[in-house]
Amino acid sequence: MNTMHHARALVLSIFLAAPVLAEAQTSTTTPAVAPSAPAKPALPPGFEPVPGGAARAESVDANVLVVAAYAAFFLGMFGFVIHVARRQAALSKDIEELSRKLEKRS
Amino acid sequence: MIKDALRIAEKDLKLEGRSKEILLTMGFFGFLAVLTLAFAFRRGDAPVASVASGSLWVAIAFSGTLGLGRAFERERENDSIRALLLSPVPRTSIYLGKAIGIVTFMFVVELVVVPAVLLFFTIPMGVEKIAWLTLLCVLGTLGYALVGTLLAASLIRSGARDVLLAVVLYPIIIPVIIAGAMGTNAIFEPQIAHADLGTWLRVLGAFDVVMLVTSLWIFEALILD
Amino acid sequence: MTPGAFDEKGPLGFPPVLAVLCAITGLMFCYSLHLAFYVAPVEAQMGFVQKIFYFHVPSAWVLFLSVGVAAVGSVGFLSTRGAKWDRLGNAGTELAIVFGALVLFSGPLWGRKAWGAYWVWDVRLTSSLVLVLTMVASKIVRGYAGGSAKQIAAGLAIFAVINSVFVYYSVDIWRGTHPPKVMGDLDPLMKKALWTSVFTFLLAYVCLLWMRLRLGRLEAAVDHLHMQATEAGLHD
Repeated sequence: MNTMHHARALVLSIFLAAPVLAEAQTSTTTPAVAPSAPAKPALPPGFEPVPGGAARAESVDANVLVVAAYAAFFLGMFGFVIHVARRQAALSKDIEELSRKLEKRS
Repeated sequence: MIKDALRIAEKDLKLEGRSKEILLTMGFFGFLAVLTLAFAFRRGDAPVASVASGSLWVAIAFSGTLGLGRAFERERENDSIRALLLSPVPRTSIYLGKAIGIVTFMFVVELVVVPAVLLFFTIPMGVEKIAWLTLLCVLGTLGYALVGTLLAASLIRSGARDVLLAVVLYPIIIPVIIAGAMGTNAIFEPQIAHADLGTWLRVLGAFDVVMLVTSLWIFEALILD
Repeated sequence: MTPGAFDEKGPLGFPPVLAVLCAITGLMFCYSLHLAFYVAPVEAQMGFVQKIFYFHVPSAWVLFLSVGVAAVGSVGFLSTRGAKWDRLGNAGTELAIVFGALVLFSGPLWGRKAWGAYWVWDVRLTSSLVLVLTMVASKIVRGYAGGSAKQIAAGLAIFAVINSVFVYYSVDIWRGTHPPKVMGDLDPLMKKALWTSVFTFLLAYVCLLWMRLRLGRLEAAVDHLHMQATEAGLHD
């Protein structure tokens, strides 16, 4: 019984592996018709300063940065208030429910 | 207090001497870390020499975390920490004893990691440089181990202690990494930059002293239960 | 929890005094904005982007204040094991993270124009980053470290304070030449705008801390009730 299992497994794996091996065979025997490789990019310059650094500093609008910063401040603080208020409401509900249950018990 | 601490350290070291589990795994991992970094930072056909100092301290930090985790895991497995706490040994001695053990493990690992860095990053060395590097490693490792022992001990009963140790340890030992790497930079220069090196050695020394005092106080409070 | 002007539920479930304080803070924010944008002159070198300064700097000071509050709570908790100290430490940690995030967001936005890049390892931003990271670690520990979480978090907060000195000093030496400090000589109108903002942020901090402490007390009350319920056999 066990040997039948093993034999079946073996046949199945050969069946599955065959096309993969065949593929590998053909790809090694066909002459390499490699598409023209893209030009190798230059190695990144590491920590060298970005050329035209000053010009780059002007490409982002100051107004956007200021608005984003101030928006973040208000969103952050309001967000915290809302988070606290919501959590508080949920906890108050919990307290009411638990107190009710304990009252009923006693 | 020191005698008790030394006895505790002796126990840890004897135990490790028999199995050598922590030393072998830490040491091997440290070596692998250096190798990985040497592969990762390449320019052309050789690793970039300028990242050698940083790589050294990253490898020390990572293998140190491994060792800390494993050392306290062992304590937890045997529940020996409770026995220690119940004994009349003062808490501070327990802390110092464990810290001495950790420092020793890390020194042994550095005996592997430092040559690996020198080899793979092709750093020329001399006797004077090795002496200064040793001093730098001693001070840096002390700082790392003092903080690490405290945090690892406090997490001993926590569920997610492996990942939590890294989470809490790394922000605190950033000064050690900065000072260690910058000091090592000064040593790896063709001519040792003594002024810079002195500054960083002093920073590490101050860090060690302050962290020792702070940890001694906090350990009492943390391991009260 | 005895109700009173400080505890009675008012609008949004906050006590009347707190609600009034929040309203005043809101008005102060409007005034600060007015001063910052319409009264204070535009800075000569950096231009309009320098306006971020009027909220960024007070935020940073509130961050340090909050870390101090967290440290006080932590020392108190480690010394006395009193729950209210732990609540103070927790509230301080959370608010430090909130204001820290605001500092670390607005700083790079300002830096983008002032220094040409979002992150230039400025001493103060870098040490603030490490400080906030330690606070985040403390919060993570509270959530996942199990039994001794509160003590570890408290220890971390204390380490954070000490560590920030070392990080600041280390980065300062390391940086050598870094972007010049900005607070040199301020135009009197700019000073007025800045100090008004500082006062506003302090008011805001008091409100937020108060809210968070109330929430902490509620959480403790719920935990207590849950324990009672379990003892009474109500939870299975």
